[in-house]
Amino acid sequence: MRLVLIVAALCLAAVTPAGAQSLDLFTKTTTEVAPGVYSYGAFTARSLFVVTSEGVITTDPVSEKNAADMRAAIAEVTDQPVKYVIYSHQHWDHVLGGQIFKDEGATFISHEKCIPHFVRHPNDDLVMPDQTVTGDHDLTLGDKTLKLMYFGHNHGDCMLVMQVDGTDVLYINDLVTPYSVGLGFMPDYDPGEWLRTLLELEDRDDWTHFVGGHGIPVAPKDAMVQRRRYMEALMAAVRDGIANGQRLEALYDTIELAEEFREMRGYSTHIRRGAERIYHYYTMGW
Amino acid sequence: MRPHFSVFSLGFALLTTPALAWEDGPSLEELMKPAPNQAWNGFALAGHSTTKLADGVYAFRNTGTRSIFMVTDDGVIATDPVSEIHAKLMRDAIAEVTDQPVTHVVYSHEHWDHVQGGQIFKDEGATFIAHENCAKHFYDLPNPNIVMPDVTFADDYTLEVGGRSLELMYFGPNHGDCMVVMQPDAGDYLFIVDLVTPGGAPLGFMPDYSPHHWVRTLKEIEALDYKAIIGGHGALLSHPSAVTERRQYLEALMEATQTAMVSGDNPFELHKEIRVPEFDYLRGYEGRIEDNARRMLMYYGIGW
Repeated sequence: MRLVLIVAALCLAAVTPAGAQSLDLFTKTTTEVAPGVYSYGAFTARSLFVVTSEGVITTDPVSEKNAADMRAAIAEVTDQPVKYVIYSHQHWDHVLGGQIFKDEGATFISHEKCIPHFVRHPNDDLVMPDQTVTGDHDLTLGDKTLKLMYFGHNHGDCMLVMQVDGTDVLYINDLVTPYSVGLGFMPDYDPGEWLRTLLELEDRDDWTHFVGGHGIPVAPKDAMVQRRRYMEALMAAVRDGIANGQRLEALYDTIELAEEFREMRGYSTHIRRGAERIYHYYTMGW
Repeated sequence: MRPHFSVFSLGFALLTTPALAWEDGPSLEELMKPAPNQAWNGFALAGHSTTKLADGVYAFRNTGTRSIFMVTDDGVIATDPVSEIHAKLMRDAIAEVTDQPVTHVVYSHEHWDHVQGGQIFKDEGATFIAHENCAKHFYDLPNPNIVMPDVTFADDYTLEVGGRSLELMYFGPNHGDCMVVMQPDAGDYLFIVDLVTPGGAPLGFMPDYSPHHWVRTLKEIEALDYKAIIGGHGALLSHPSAVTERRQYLEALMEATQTAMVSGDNPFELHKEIRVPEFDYLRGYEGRIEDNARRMLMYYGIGW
C-alpha cells in the first residue's frame, strides 16, 4: 500500500511542476467515458471498468485501498458482480490489491509475459492471473467485448492496450500520461519500441480519446500525438548532440526543446534526465 | 593446457617486455590490496596502452574502456572491439606481440559502448562469438557498426584455440541479459565488464541493471576462485573484494531504500534522504547517490 503511494508520488513528480499546484491529485472520481465504460481513479492512478449485461470487467486494482474504493464506486453504478480483472502490465503500482475481486470470484487475466515477472519478484499483494493471453484477444461478457491489444515490448514487455468494441476510447496505461513529459529516466521503457508503439496507436483511426493510467479522467488523441512528438524531438536533439560530439555532461546541461514542449507538465524537472536516458539509448543500444 | 604464468607467479619480470608497459597508475602491489582501496581510483583515461598480464594474456585499454586478448599458437582471441578506433588500435597492439591472425572475437554483452567496430577483425576472417541473447538485441535494434555473432551459446561456453581456453561464464540477466564474465586458461584473472567498476559508485540511474539479478550475480562471482579482476572500465587490475564491495553497497542501498519507504516521510523527497554513509568514500558517490536511490525506489515501487 505504502509502496504504491510512493510510486504514485514518484510518477507524479513528472506532472506537478510549478503552475500545477492547484491540481487535485488524490481525489478519486468516476467518469463515464462511453456507455457503460468508466474511468475510475485519481491523478495518481487510474483504471477502467466496464459494466456489461452479465457482470463487470475491471482493469488494474492498483492497491488494496484503491481496489476497495473502486469496488464501492462500481457498486454505485451497478449491482453486477466483478467477473474479470485485467492487468494492463506487470508493474506493482498498477496491479496490486486485487484480492477483493478474487474473493467475489473474478477471473484475473494478463499477457503471458507478465507471469515471469510475477514469479521472479513475488509480491504478497498480487493476485496471480488465472488466464493469460499471448497477443490480441477479444474478451466478451454479456453485451460487450473488451479488446485486449498487444504491441510487444515498450514499457515492460506485457503491456495491453484496451478498447471496448464499438467505442472510440482506449485505455492506455503509462505509455502516455496526458500533457506530461513523464518520468525523465523512463523506468522500464525502451525508447525505440515505445515510439514505435505510439506511432502504431496513432495510425489507428478507430479511436478519438483515451484514458491513461495516470492523469486526467479522459484525454483527446491529440495528447498522445503531443507525447509522441515530444519523444521524437528529444531523441532528435540528443542524436544531433552526439553527432556534434557532445558528451553526456554537455547534453545534460544544454538540452532544450521547442517552446511547445517546454509547456508540457514536468518539462523543467525531467528534460535533463530524459536526455541522459536517450543518450544511453544511442550509445549503449538500451 | 599449458602451464599458466601470470604476474602473480612471475612478478614484474613480465612487465619488462619491450614495447609493453604497465598502465599509468598504481602498482600491482597497490592494486591488489583489498577494498576499500583508493588505488583503484588512479587509473589512466588518456591515450591507450597494452599490458601483458600472463603468458599470452594481454589487456588493451583505449581511453576509458578495456578489452583483453589472448595469443595462442593457432591465432588470437580478441574481446570487445568497442569502436572502430579502439579495434584498430587493439589490432596494432596485437601485431606488436604476434604475427598470428585474429581468429575469434568475443562480445562481453550487448551494449554498443563495448561491441561496435569489429569489422577489422571480420575482414581477416575472425569468428564472432556472443551469448544468444545478444543476437536478439542486435536484430531488434540494428547498428551497422556491429558485426553479428557467428556463433552463439545459451549457457556457459568454453572457447578453445591453440591449446588455450577462454571460459565464458553466463549468470543470467544482470546488466542486460547476455553478459559473460571471461576467464583465460581457467587461471588467475576474470575479465569483468560493467558489473563492477572497482572502487566506484554505480552510474546514476544504473542503466540496464536489474538490482536483484545484479546482486545475485555478484554473489556467484564471489564464490569463484581467482586472484584479480581485469576491469572493462577503471583500474587495470583489482582485488576480488571489489566485487564484494559493490555487492555490499547495493545491498546497503536496497536496505536504506526499504527503510525510507516505510518512514512515512514525503515520498517526493525520499531520494534526498536515502544515503549509505559507510560507502561515501566510493568514487562518484556524492554525484550519484540520489539517482542510485531513485533507481532503487523504482525497483521496490514497481517491481522493476
